[in-house]
Amino acid sequence: MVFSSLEFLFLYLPVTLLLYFMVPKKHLKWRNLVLLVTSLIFYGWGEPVYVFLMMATIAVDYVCGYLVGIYREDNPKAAKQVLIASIIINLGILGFFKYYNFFIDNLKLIPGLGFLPTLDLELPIGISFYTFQALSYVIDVYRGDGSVQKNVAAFGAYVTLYPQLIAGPIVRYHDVDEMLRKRSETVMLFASGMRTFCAGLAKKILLANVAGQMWNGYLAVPVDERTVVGAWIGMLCYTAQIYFDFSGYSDMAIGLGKMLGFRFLENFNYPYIAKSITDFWRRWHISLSSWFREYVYIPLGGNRKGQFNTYRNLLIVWFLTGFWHGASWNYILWGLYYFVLLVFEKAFFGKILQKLPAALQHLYTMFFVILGWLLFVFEDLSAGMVWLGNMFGVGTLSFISQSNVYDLVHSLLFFAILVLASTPIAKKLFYRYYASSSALRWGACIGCGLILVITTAYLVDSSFNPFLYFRF
Amino acid sequence: MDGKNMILSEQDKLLLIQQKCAKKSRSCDIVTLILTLGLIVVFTLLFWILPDKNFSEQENRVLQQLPKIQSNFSGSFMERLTEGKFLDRLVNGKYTAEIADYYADQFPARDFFVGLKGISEAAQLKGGNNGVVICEDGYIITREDYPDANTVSANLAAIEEFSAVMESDGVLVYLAMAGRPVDVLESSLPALYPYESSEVLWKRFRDESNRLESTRYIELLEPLKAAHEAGEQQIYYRTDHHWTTHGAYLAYREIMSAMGMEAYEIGDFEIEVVSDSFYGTTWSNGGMKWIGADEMVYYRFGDDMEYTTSVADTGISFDSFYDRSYLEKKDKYSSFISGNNARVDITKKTGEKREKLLLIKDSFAHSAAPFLARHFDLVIIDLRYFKESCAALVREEGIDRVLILNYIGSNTSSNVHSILKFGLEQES
Repeated sequence: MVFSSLEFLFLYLPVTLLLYFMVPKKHLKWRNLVLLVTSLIFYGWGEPVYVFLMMATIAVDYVCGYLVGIYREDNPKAAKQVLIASIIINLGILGFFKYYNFFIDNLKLIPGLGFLPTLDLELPIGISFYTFQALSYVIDVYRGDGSVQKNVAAFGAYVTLYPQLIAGPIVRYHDVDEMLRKRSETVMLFASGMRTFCAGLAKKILLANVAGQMWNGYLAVPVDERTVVGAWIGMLCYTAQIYFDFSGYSDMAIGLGKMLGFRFLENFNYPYIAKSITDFWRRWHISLSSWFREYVYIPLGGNRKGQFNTYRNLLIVWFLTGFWHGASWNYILWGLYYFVLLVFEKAFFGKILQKLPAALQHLYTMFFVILGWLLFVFEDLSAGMVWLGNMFGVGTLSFISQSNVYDLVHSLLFFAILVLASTPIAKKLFYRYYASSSALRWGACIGCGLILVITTAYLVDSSFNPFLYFRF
Repeated sequence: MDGKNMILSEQDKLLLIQQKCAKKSRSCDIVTLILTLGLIVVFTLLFWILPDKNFSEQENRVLQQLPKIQSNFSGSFMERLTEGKFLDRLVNGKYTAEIADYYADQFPARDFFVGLKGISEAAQLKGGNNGVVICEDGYIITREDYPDANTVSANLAAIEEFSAVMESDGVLVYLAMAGRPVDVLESSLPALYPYESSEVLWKRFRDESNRLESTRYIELLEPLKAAHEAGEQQIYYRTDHHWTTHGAYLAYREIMSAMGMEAYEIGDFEIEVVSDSFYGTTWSNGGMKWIGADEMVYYRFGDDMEYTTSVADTGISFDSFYDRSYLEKKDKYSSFISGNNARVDITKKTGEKREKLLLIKDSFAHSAAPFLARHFDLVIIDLRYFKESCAALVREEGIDRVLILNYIGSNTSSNVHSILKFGLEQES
């Protein structure tokens, strides 16, 4: 199930909130159990079979965490063995379901290995997110950053927590350890969560989906009718779509978490105002970068073991970051692309960049981010290269078409909204005046209601499919 | 706070601000909850309380009903769960997908929400919604930027192959194609609208059609476009992609003149207004509820009740050319010769034998058929549904002439005329 659907908003959400808050506050264990069961239903709704895979993950990591906790003090060697077993099992599951066919397809290219069978596997939704979350538990317990969770329901709730189950943010165990044992759901926190949720809903439905439709429209332009401006409008729409889609979903997750008394990490911090690629990655999908930093980069030695090792570690992290996004070469290339840019900035360009005017810094950053999305969106590299050519006038019919002009004029306001929403202006105003201005608070209240009604209109409309009797 | 938790700062900053004024904002927080949760709960309840609908007239389609857990309710609960199809459907995700469709199709106040989205998009100055563009003079059209001219060429090739065989049998084939609203309504298009693709498509179509040796091409776009520009009569519906009855009349004049026959003058008809509340498919798609309805008229003539229209698909026949039951529904355009059918015949009741015309068509010909029926006995077929040999039909029915009359939009999206080639070999 996804948050931006009618059956989530008007069936799942009210029912699960009711069940959750029907349990008296003092019985937190039972509230955790309600969370676990409703989260499993949430997951099973879209993945009726893989819900059992998820339960297996919970069982394995519960046991591993428990054992690590027992051995940690007296028998560090055994603790380490259990930890390694847990890592192998978790990554094994992820590797099998996400990457098996990718590896086989590539191995098949080697003469003599053509007999290897590919499997008809569908990727379990969210597996990349919840596997990382489950792993962080055992590692945190091993390191002593978190304590063993003996209550199965609480641990299960941590792994399956429906707000961030499908698309993050990736919660690390030590961030929520406390909240699983003690948290307070208050009216203030609930209202705050509702505001965050509505903001995310608006981002996803009013901005991301609409920008995505435009991108698809441009993607559908026949190859011999493409224009330079069209190729740029298309990529800019995709750039907007991926950010508002992802950050909108994260906002909804954070909002839902707050309603239930959890506080999750911010996952995005206005990445498109970044002044360098390094800065961009501090602001984009923060929970993933922190996960890799904490559980891969630093254990490998980080930047403390000399220049060579630092670059080697960065290479590993960025290869993995790319590969994490999907089992396809273009994602790996996308990760390595950022490795090159980051090394470039680290080595010398960062210092030069700082001396340039701010406008140039933004321009440089967005230019490479947009080219990065080109690698990201086209799994078929040759199609991506054709599009890249189009952006610079290779293989295009003309620079601009009448159709582009018409689109630009009629999207001016929408594009202006996209740009504004990519900057923290609204957030800054909200922070500054929230305490002093009651008009702002009431405006936010009415805004939430309006957003719910209007996004519902967009959801209903997207299902509204007049049967076109003149089409064949 | 220790160093690790500092990362929470963005969320915490907000929460700190909110905590600081928690007392002041408490009433606002409570109202926020009542408003948002209230909306969610009210629509959830309305959804389950309001009766479900079977059919959407606006969309002309059957709506999803509550998916059944199992149709046969005998046996224990466990038996039902384990042996029934329910488990299969649940496992393969069909059941939950049906629930999603059910929610979408039966959502309360659906029309209101569709209209609200139309308003929201228009308020962002997008000039339209769902690919429907707001034009001048109250017209709305579907935006079609990249028509596939290659498919038109493939259609023309099939037509020409058919015509050549017909010609050798002494049967003449005429070809006329109705323009899309965007082609005809050029003078009403909004500023900057990309009309160029229309010109490219028609230039290529016209050039290729004029080169055909056995097919006689009849130009409809230019005369209808000129009539729209003159502005005396409405040539296309404002809310639908079809031409009005007057547009069909103008097409009929062009066809008659190309066939070397004399058309009836406008004064020979009596105009009957049959509806002032026709909302076409463009209107349904666009969700722009503020756009008003179209008027629909029939061009009647003295003895038009002396004709019989027989629908082969349903076995129904009726006097004259109109199935007026459609006027009560949304789909009023289907009142012309009873809408889309594989085969319809129109003859005179007196049994008088006249020249026989095979009309190969799509829905554009429906409103033109009554005019042609005044001159010919008509055999009308629709190649979307008629899947037999047209050449054989011509021979069996003793057809004298063939007229292909349809919508250029259909010819860009599918090679619908390829079936004309079917059965040609036996003929020649």
